[in-house]
Parts: sequence; structure tokens; C-alpha cells
Amino acid sequence: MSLSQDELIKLAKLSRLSLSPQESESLRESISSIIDWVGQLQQAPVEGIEPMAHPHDQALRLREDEPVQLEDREVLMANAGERAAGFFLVPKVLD
Amino acid sequence: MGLMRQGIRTLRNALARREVSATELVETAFKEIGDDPLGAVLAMDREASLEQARAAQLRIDQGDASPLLGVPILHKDVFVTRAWPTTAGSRMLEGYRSPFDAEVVRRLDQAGMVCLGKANCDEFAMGSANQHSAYKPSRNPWSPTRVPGGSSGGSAAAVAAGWVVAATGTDTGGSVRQPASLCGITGLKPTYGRISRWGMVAYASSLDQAGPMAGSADDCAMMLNAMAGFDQKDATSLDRPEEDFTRYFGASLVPAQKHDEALPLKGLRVGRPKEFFAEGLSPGVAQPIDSALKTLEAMGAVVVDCSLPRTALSIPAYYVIAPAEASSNLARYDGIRYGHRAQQPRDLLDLYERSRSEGFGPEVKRRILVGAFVLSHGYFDAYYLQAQRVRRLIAMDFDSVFESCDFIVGPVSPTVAWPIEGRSQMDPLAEYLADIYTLGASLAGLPAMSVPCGFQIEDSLRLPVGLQIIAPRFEEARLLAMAHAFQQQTDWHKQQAPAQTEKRGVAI
Repeated sequence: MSLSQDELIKLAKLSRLSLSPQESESLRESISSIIDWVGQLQQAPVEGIEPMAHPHDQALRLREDEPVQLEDREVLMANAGERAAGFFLVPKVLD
Repeated sequence: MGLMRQGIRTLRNALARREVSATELVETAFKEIGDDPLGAVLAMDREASLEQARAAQLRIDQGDASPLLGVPILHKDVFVTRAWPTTAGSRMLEGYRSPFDAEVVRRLDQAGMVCLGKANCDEFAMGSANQHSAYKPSRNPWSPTRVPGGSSGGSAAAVAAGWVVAATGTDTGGSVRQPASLCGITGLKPTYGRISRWGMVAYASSLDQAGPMAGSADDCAMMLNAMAGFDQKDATSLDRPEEDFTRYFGASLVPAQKHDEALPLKGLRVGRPKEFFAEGLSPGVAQPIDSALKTLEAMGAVVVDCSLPRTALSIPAYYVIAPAEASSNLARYDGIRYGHRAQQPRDLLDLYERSRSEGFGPEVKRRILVGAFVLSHGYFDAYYLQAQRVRRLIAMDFDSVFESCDFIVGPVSPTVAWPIEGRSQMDPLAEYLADIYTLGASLAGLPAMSVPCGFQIEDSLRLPVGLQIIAPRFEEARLLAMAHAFQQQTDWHKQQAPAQTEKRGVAI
């Protein structure tokens, strides 16, 4: 299948990516050919086969929900682009 | 010069006999790496490395006999480190400093290995040539005009160049085995869950697995001893009894059978899947692989024909599942808590979109978008669930071969290292197709190795070929012993890449 420009824009929006016009065109072409090509999976007979999400078919192990002391707040926040008064800053969300 | 190429045991003995000190090894490595003509290293910090070396030397001086103590290592830049920046080869994480060490880093640190810095890799480990690093491409020490493979290309190149004795890598669809093959070193992808993923920058969580890359199976086994083990912090970590991965070296691999020095692989059945030798395998690779199979037979193994009928489907299955998991994992990069943040955003959505668009490179964007497609409403069942069903069929194919075979052998890569020039504008599908022989073991979660087994001469270049050995799950100890036995009979793993003495002006 060939991905239309509108479909690509929708995927980009879902992925929180904004694409330049040149980027869009080259991605649309390569993604179309990838999707087309992985479509061959649909020819595989899979009747009665359960999807495999984990290579050993194990469920994720749960742990007790107990608080642990991590690094201090400053260390954990040191990589944030903008912060103030011990909080992460984001652009204004509510008017 | 040359000490790094002699393996961990030799190096460790030299340290114990005071022929060299841990700090001298760091100084030598820094001198050898110089201005990094191979583009193999992303971050180095002499003082941080020397500090670790001094601590290791102190333990050596006190008579500590730990087998990895004082031995230098590079960590692939997807393992987070406190003392070095971690970028995962992406602009998104430029300047990122982790508040903690990855579990692998912590374990090797505790074992006394001295970290020399961070190895270059494809951005977020997405690539098979190490040409998708946002910082610089890596080059192959056997010829700087060739790719080192990927995504652990910097790790493989640095070990093959003799700059460092060992390196860590990660393997999602072949990223330890393929660069090991293309650079002529030994690399192991263990059973999924064997090594903790805690602190590994996530790509595709149901496939990602760390592994050792070094000069021999012996070195890889010693590293695995330190790297493997249950970790409560990784929800997919396997709770397995502790084991010594060198325990079958020089012993029979068949239970209750006496070891035969002359026929060390006696009684082993080795499967040769016909799909790994079909059209697409270059004759220059097929020839050394065939010779390696004859060597295994001469060592007592019985090579039998077998079939992994869904081999061709492993590529589309992987390129649905891995991008799907990547699109979900990489959603965390929002420009807020860490990672690249766009300047002067109009609003929150603009902050997200521009931070991500500026921070991610083209291949990462491509995989995120493919992942979003296969997970989206209307396509989820036809693509994503279908890929997971095919994944199970692929795993069942391996199980059925292992009912009558101890190992599966074949090539790692259909070709030797390809030229950097000319393929840089390569169609992404062409790069994906080169992963055909490694993806099956990844999807099935099986342990698999690349072991040097010869060379192909191409354009008067001598380029390494790797033999892939795949084992049933949890059978790393036998797998490593099989590779070790092969390396006792052959010297392909001891062949040295030309010295990297000056920066080469090769444009790409």
C-alpha cells in the first residue's frame, strides 16, 4: 500500500513529530515501501497461533509497591531543560 | 603495543606479575586511540578512567585475584553511566548525565574493569552499519573505507583495532553479532533476560539484550560471568541459578560422555539450516563458513541438514515488532525531564513536536512512524498481532530443530563489511535485508554468537567473516565451550587488523 500525505501527517501527529516538506516526502516513500513489504506477513498461515509478546512467554514480574529512597531531587532534575523551585517547567497549559 | 590483543587472561597475569599497571594500560589505550581515526569512541575522560584504574591497582596490590580486575573496557553508549555522558548516539541525549549507572556498568565496575569511555553506536541502536550515529560514522579497522557493522559498531571497531581488550554491546536484532562478524572479533548475545536491561537505553524491550564483545570465547565467558545475573530492577530479568560460563571448557559437551582431546566435539549434532545457505549468501562468505563446518566435523561433530522454514519472514516480523516497541519506548523523550528541549515553544504540543523533531535523526523518525502505523487503529491486528504470531512460529521452528540438534550454525551476515561510500544513501530496506540470519535468534530469545572463521578478499582488502552458532535457551555455557573448542583448533580470532596509526582522510 502507498501511504498518502494525509496518512503520514496523521502518523506524525500521533508520534508528536513535525516533519519538514522534504523530510515528509522521503519518509513517505520509504515508509510506504516498508509497510508494503512487511505486508507479506499477512500471507503466513497462523491459524490457532497465539501472539508471542515475550520470548519465554513469561508475564512481567511484579514487585511490592514499597517506597524507596532514590538519588536526591537535584540530581534527578539536573538534566531538565527548564525548572524552577524544584519543579519541571512546561509552557502554560491553562489560560 | 599489542597487549590488548592478547586477551583478558594474559593481560590479567601481566597485571598480577606487575609487568604493567592498570594506570599504564589506561595511558597506553588513550595514546592508541589518539584522535579516534575509526570514529569508535564518543566520550572519554582521562581522569575518570585513571581514578578507576588507581582503585583497581590498589586491589591488585592487596592481592585481590578477581579475574577482570584492572582490565580496560569500553561501554556502548546505550549503557547509562554517571561518570561519562550517555547519548545513545543521538542528539536527543546530547550532554545527558545519568544519575545512576546501568546494572551492567555497575557489575563490571564492581568486578574491577576499568572503563575507558563510551563506544559509538547507531542512534538508539537502530542500524546495521554504524552510519546512523548522530555524531560521527564508525569505520572498520580492517579497512577504514568499510562499515564496522552495527549497531554496536564502535565497540567492535575498538576491540578489533586492539585499542581495548573488551567492550559491551547490545543486540536487539543482531547488533552484537553482526559488527563482531564484520570486524573479526567474538561476540555473544545471551538468552533474552540473562543480563539486566536496567540502565540500557530502551529500543525494543522484548528483544533488547546486552552482550560481551572481545577477542575470544574465553574472554566473552569471563565477562558474561560478571554481567549475567538476576536483577529485581528489570521486570524481564531471569531468575536463574548462578553459573560459571567457562565450566565446559576442555570438557565433554555431551552429558555422561568422557572428553576426547582428539575429538572435542564428539557426539554433538550441529544443524545447518538450508535457508541460511540459500540465494543471497555471497560466495565469499559461504566458502569460509563451509570450511568452518568441515573443521567442526574434523573435531567430531556431526553436521546435519535442517530447516528453519520461516527465516525469510523473520525480517518483516522484526521490522514490525521492533519499530512498534520503539515508538512506544521513545515516547518518553518529551523535552521536559531530560533530553533535547526546543527553544521558545508556542505551547506544550509545539514543545513536544519540535523537541522530538530536532532531537531524533531520520532512521529513528522512520521507525517511530512505522511503529505508530502498525499499532494504529485498523492495522494493529493485521500487522502487529500478525507479526507476534509469526514470531511464535519462528520460535517453534528453532524448538523443533533443537529436538534433534545441539546447535545451529551458519553465517552471521550475507556479506562482508560493505563500503561506506555509495551505500550511505542506501534504501533502508536493503539495510534491513542484511539482518536475515541474526533476527531469528533475536525473535526466539535464543543465545547466539559470532566467531571469526576466515576472510574474504574483496577489492584487495582482507575482510573478516563470522560463523554464527545458535544454542537452545540458557545454554550459553555449552555455546561458549563449543566456540572455545573451535578457537583452540583455529587462529582466525588471533588475526590482527592493520594498526590504526593516523587519521585517514576518507570522505563519506
